[in-house]
Amino acid sequence: MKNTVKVERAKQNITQQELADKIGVSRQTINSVETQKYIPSTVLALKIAHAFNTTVNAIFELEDED
Amino acid sequence: MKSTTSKYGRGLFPSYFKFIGLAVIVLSFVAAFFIRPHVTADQKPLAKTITINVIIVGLFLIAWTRSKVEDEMSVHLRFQSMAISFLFGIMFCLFHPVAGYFIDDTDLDISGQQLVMTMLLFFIFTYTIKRRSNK
Repeated sequence: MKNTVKVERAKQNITQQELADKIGVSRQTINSVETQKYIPSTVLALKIAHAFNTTVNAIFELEDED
Repeated sequence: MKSTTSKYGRGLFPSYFKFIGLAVIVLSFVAAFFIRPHVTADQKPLAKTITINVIIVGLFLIAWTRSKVEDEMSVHLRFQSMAISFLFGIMFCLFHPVAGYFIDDTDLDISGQQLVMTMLLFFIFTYTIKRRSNK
């Protein structure tokens, strides 16, 4: 599953740590989501989308192998 | 937004228990070292059992302690590490007697203590490596 978390973060000029603090997870979790090592749960995906004032669909996108 | 840390860390010891676990292990080694000369041949098996049990308690405290930020990914990594250490435990049970046979070890059975200690050590090792590789 692709995501644009890194892009959204760059747009809003916030660090991984700041985003992690905002949604109550570790910086490692944000890094793993950005590098697609970890697929977040629906709750975490909604929290990430909420932090960027957008929808889950705008950030996360299914790939052919999903 | 509400933190998810408390929700995911439920049932685990607070993060400072890691140091307590470490202290328990170190103390058990120190105690074993100082008590050894005073232990008679009859008491040796009991002393060995107590020392190993205390080490297991220390390892358990380290393994059952939450990370500073416990979230859904740490739970995911914890479960993965548990599954891997469980498989390792099975492999250890199967291959230990075989290896013992080839090196002429007369004691081919493994005790529950040996198995639990190996699994706990492997769990701690796997979980630490997995967390570090996600930096």
